[in-house]
Amino acid sequence: MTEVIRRTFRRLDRLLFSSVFLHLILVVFLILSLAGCASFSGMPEPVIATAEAVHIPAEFMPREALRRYHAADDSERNGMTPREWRNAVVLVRMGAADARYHEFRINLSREVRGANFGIESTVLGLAGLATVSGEGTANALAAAIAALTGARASLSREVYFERTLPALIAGMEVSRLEIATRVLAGLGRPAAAYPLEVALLDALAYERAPSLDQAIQLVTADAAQEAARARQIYNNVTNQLGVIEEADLPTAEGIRNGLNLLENQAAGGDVTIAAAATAAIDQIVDELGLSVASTASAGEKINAVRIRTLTMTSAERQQFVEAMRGRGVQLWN
Amino acid sequence: MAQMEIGAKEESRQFSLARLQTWVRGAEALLGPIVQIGNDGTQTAGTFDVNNPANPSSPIRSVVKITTTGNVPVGATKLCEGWVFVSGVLQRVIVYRPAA
Repeated sequence: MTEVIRRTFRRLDRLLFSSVFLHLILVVFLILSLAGCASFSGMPEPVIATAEAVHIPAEFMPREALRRYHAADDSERNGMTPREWRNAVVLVRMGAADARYHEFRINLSREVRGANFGIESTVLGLAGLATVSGEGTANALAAAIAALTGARASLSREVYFERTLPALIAGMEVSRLEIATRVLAGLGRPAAAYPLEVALLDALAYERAPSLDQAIQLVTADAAQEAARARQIYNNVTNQLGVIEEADLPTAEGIRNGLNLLENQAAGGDVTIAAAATAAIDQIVDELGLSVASTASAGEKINAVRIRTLTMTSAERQQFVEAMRGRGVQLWN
Repeated sequence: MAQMEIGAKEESRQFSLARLQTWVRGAEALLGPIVQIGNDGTQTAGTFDVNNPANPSSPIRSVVKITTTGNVPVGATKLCEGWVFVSGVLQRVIVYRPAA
């Protein structure tokens, strides 16, 4: 039985290896894949066909619409006031822009999903075929798979990477919403306050808002801000320190060493030394005018002193070191 | 180990790399060895190990370098690494103490 299967596969391999048959398989796969693309869309088709929705009557075209808008007689505007006429012209224009945008969204979704799905199906099919074929056929099919995989990568790049598509669409929606809000607010105002000329410019901006390029800029800026936030490891740093120049580093080190010594002595086991250190710390806290609870530990008081030294000037740090030295605090090892 | 977080003032976003290094060295002299460096979104900040027994009177000054790899020179001790403002731009830097 095993021998029969082996012979069958050998015959199949010879058949598959013939280039005519191989090309035939590839063509069939590609046709099937493309046929699958045709009905693959991520959005419903519009109720009113786009071609019909974008048809703007001649009287609403800019030049004629403006002539009628400025006409003295309402009869030139089908009995409408200038404000009503302005609103009608702009809303028809925005409706047409919406129809175009919807079509654009459908096509974008279809191209990305359909192309990827179709090529994915073909790759899976060829890969499956390669696993049951002989070495020669498998190599040929592997080459075809590689080519198709490369095509898919290229296609994804061209149609703006599938994974970021939702973010890009959100970016376009934000732009459209901003302009639509501006226009709708304008349409509630008198004709003199929001003339048709301005309204048409806004309508044009609304029409052009759904640009992938602009959306990419928006998303990229957001991503950059997000990355910067991710790099931020501190929040609400309240204590600040200016630059201490090289010449003042020994003074700063004297302060650090002296405060560390006092803190360690106050916490040490020798009662006499601890008492003297605690008294010295209290005196420093008083002299610096720091508001520290009397019940605070020696370490807490020293920390309050450390924070105060952050904002001292170079001269103040020098005086502070002299005062500690005068008190007999060891400043340098 | 007591630690203290402090920010760098004086328009620290615009610090040059050399100025940033001077700031780090000053903060280490006053507080103790640096253990972390970064930013809070508006300024460069660092965490310093206060009351560290390391002898401050003859320290080997730390060095701040912009890095892409996070590697330090042979023999140097890596202290910390983070994103800070250098001349107004967030840059990844490494702070290390050179070999004696």
